[in-house]
Amino acid sequence: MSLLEKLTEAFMPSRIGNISPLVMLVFSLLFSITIFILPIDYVLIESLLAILLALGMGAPATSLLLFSIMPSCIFLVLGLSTQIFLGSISVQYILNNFLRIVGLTSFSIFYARTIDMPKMISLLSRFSTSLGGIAAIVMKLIYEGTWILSELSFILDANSGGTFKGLKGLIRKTRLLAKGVAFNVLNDAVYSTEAFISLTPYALRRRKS
Amino acid sequence: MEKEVLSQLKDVIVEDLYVKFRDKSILEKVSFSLDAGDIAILKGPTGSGKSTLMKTISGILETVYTGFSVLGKISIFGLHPKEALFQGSFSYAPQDPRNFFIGRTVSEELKYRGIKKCEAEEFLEKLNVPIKDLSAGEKYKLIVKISMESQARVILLDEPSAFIDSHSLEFLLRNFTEEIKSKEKVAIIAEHRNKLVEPFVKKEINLKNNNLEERNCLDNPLPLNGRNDGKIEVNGLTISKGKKVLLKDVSFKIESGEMVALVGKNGSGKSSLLREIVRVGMGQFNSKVRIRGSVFFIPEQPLYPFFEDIVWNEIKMWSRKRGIEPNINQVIDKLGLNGKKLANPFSLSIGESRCLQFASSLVFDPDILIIDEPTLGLDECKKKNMIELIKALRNKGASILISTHDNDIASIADYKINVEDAWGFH
Repeated sequence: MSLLEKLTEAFMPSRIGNISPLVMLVFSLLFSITIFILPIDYVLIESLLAILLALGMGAPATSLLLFSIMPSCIFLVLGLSTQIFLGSISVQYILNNFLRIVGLTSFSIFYARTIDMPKMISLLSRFSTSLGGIAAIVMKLIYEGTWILSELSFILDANSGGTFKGLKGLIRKTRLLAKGVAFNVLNDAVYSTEAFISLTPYALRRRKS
Repeated sequence: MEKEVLSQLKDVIVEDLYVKFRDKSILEKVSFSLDAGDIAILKGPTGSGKSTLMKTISGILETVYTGFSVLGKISIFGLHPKEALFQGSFSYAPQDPRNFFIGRTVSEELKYRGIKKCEAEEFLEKLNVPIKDLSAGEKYKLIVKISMESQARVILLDEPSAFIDSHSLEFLLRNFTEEIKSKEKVAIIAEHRNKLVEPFVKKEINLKNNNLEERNCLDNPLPLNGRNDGKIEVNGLTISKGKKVLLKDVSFKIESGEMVALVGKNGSGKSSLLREIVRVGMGQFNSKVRIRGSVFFIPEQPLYPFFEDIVWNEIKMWSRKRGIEPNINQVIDKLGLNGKKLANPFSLSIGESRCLQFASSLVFDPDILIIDEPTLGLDECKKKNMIELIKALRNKGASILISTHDNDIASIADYKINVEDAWGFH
């Protein structure tokens, strides 16, 4: 049994409700630390980490939200309270966390309705040697995500008519970009998976032989 | 009984296929059969379910997605689609060839797909080239190579002409046809540009549109109020990609109420030229380019350049940009998106996505409209509608600049410029 199969077996969605609160807490804390310490440029990687974590656990969208977004929300509130208390609110801080929350929320809303994520991961786990392939898809998505971010930013600037000026404009642009990138990356993930599963079994058999 | 015996002789059989997404019918009573060596063209209007049919017969729909119900008989060389999928019997090339590739370079991709370098001689010189740097034609050549070298017996190409110029497509299809016959595979090509593909195919599969209302292509164009006043002037511009000079001494002018179409092969520098002009519209200085008026730019890629989660909101977002309150219903209706008002833009087909982007440009009402491949994924009816709308925008003073492989839309331009002939750097 491959590592991925074991993971899927251990955390099948039917069992998600029975996961011990301790496991949930550890994962939440680990993820919170990751999401908190990385700079804003890594937001996409963080988002993918969240997805991978949730996928690895065969988690449905609600768990994905729980693991990735809740800690960020808690840190935002805690951080804001501390900074208000200290009298030094940083706009960058608010933006960082705002982007994370909106981006990660967007991930699950549409796709949770149409993509059977646990089924997808259990399918991929059938090919024990295809972990490299999954890693390749993830790397590809990180790369594509960067490209999409720059393209969408270009489109917004090109068609903005000068409306993204000032703090309000910046926040609006950030929100739009977070949503656009999140949707596009997931869209690519789905299409890449379609292409991936259509030829992979053959490629693996051929390599083994 | 006789029908049963007959159907056993065919390699791909689809009989009375119905596909639903929750309560919504997508495909109804689809039947066809194909033999080894056959190439079929899959026709149907934008949003009629061509991609869904391909994903259904390849087992991808039932494997990856949830919420779909599939009824009817599908047999792929005697196997159930999912069984055939797990045996590696399919190669599916999605509408955006970018999504087919997993590897970063050609070499990585071949290795990952289990293909030895000696089996892909024509790519030996490009082994270390990043996939993103291949032209659309080259990407499709690589997809075809991978599919042919694999044991996939059914090759599914989802609208190959969307990104390939007609010359490259013809060349590609000629080789493809020969290989399909010699290796006794089956191919299905979903396509809108039928004239280009039909000479190479044996059979036709026609889908009708179950969900979207058919638009009358000859409706009056959308009434747009006010006057636009745009102008583009380019004088002696050079377009480079890295160190490579693509176009030299580019000079042209588009006055208010004029339209120019840039044509030429993949990779000739059309898109780069459009982007350079757009950058000036964004406020970047370039002494060789002058523009007057507000700009709206629709890129070729990404295919889904959207920011909102509902079609209606996406259009409204752009109308707010210039403080205009147009009749969004009217725009949606005109572009045949009535049934999709509340849909997620990412659930649209590529043709519908293009209509949505065009709807956004209409409510923005720009002085200069720049579109890279305006007819991407559009069926004939939607294409005619778009042409009428572009004409209407031009008539009210907008300057329009497009880059295209589609002769139908290039023919309505005041000037058609072949960038290689005019400014190609040899």
